[in-house]
Amino acid sequence: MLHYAQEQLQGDYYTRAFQAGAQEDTLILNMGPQHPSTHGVLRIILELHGEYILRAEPVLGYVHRMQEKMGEVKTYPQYLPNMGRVDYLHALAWNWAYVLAVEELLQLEVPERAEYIRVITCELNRITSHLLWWGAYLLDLGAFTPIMYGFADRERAMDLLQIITGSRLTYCYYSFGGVTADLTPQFIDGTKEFCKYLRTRLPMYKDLVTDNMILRHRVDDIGIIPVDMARRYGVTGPNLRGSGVEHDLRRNTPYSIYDRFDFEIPAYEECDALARYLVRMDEMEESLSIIEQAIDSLPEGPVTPPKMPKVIKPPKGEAYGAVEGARGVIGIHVISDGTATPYRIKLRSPSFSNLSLFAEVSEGILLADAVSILGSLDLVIPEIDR
Amino acid sequence: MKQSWVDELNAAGAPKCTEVQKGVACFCLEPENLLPSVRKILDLEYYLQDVSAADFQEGYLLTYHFAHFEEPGQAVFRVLISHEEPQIPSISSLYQGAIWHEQECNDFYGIVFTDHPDLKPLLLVPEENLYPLRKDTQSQKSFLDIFPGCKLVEAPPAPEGEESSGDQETAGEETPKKKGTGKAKARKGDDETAQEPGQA
Amino acid sequence: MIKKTPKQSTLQGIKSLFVGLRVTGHNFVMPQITTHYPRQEVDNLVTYRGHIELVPKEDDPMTSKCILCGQCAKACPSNCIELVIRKEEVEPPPAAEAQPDADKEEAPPKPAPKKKVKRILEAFILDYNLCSLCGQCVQTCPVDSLEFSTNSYLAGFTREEFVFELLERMRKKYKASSSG
Repeated sequence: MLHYAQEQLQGDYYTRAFQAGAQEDTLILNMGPQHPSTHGVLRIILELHGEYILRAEPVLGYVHRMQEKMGEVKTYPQYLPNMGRVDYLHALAWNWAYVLAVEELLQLEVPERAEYIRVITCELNRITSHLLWWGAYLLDLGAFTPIMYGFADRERAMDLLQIITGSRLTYCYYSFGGVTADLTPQFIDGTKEFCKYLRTRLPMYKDLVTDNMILRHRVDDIGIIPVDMARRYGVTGPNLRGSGVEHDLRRNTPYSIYDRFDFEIPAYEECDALARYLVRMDEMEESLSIIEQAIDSLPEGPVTPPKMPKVIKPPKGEAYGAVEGARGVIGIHVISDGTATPYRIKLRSPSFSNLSLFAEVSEGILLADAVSILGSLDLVIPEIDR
Repeated sequence: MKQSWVDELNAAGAPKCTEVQKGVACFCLEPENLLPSVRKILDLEYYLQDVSAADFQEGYLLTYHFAHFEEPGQAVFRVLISHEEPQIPSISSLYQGAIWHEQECNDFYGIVFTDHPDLKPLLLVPEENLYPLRKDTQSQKSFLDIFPGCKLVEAPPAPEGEESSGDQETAGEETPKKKGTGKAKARKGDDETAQEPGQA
Repeated sequence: MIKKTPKQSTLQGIKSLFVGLRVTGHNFVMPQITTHYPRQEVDNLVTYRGHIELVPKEDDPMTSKCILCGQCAKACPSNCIELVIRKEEVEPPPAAEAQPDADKEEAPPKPAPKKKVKRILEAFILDYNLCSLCGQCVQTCPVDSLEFSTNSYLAGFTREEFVFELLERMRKKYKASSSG
């Protein structure tokens, strides 16, 4: 009986495995799965020496839903709503990656107007994602008010997206070959207004937070990710651009119509949390500029292809749909065997790769800085676990 | 992917890839050639996108996607391993990001990555071996059927002889297919399945 | 464009604190932007796409536009739609008209306009517990017999309360609107 209790005290499988490699006189601490700074159910086992982290090991799988298996039992259109649930913050980018892969398999042409609508909505969604990250990151660092400002502005963008998609978070808006609903004048006017409005807000964010001395101390020189490390772990997105690499799929491998727009790829060379922070702040401005350009040159026309197959049965083969999400490269690898159900769907989520370097980057740092690093990586846990 | 890089990879043991479509270069490798090829692609400054597996009649197909920070496109490595002995060297000594991807493949298919630092369950419960993505024999499809560009070749163990025999066969038999997976070989240790290429 | 992160001197840092305080002070006197549910409600629910409702025929508000093809049930990713169909023997229409349709009767699930056995929609059951609001059913419907409701304030104590019979809801709605 006593033995049993002892075993219980030693924790679960992961704690026991972690403990086996621990040094003497160190503290094993479970951070999460219900820790406010882990944004969901991420658990990190830490070996601490005083305030310093000797070893860290993220434990995943608390919101694992086996999305890849679901893909193998549903038909192609039936799998569409799953995409919004993988990453709830930038759902449209996941929508896009999936329809991009299936469109490549089907050799489907997307009408011009639908491409513009996709760009507008996806960029708007990217702004909402970054605004939430901004608020939540500062909340992690102990600043309570910014999330209120971030949310107030994010609500406006979500109201706009609700007009055309009908939902606020888990969008299922893109369909194979187009989008499910056309833009309304209300959306177009609202978006123009929102772009103007957010441009007045971003300087306020800078005054309130970016230039703030306390924030600088929490993020400057914290969590250095050199380019070499980023490459070995497959880090992409703003985290990579914070390491001084101008890698953005919208520019490198322009999908859709991104080659028509004039925008910068913000990158900072410091590799620290501040650089990643500034990349995201600059990216919001670039997204606004893309939206404005897209709205100004929005063509008329249909939003779905004229000839759609009644049952979606892509020919045998494979396709890799890769888009630039708010967190990095989203890749969906679809293998089709010629039936109405995919043979294999592999979801490449950027946060998965971004988090995998945490063990290496957190060695020898303060526990408080680990929170700062986690926040600066902009993790979405359902996306990691899938 | 630049042609010079493709040549360099070929020299490192990744068999030729005849076509590079939209910057995507595809290589079908032998498990023995995986590590040298991955070392080469790390030297070429590619980053790891993902490692995934799929269950086919011929065995488990492992797909490694790499991309470059400056160059557009992808490099795809495919390795076929048998169902009976699902073992493959781990690339985690070169790309540490692969540690989790390989653990995930082990979770879903039970593929063993040799020299992996810590091959424990990542996403699924540690108490059970579920292997949810394994397919039963009825639902398994042929790898050759889906990737007509790839070929099964009775691989002789010596790498030089193998490459030349592959060249001859492609020159003679391969018909151009719409999917540019390139001419490539996939190893098969298993005799019955190797003889059934009824793809063309 | 690879930039350098701007560095800050201590003086600038101290100044930043006062700038931040000014922003906070400015926002302190701004009007409230939150909505105090349940005393207030948000005004943009028109665009919300809630669970589906059946659309009545224009000329007969008691029957729905549905042609019982079952496409919505097939398209649904979570199998939450069920059509209860009653088959009814009807008098065969005049021979002259019945003849051309004779071939079509071989395929019973296809709703042909004229048939000896008439299929009537008894109930259209939506299990809202399972619904993920993806809208696939509305998109696949060939006759636009489904629409989204804007009902976002749904609450209940049991799961059974969320199994809706849409035909009945449609009729009730009409009755309520015609009587009120």
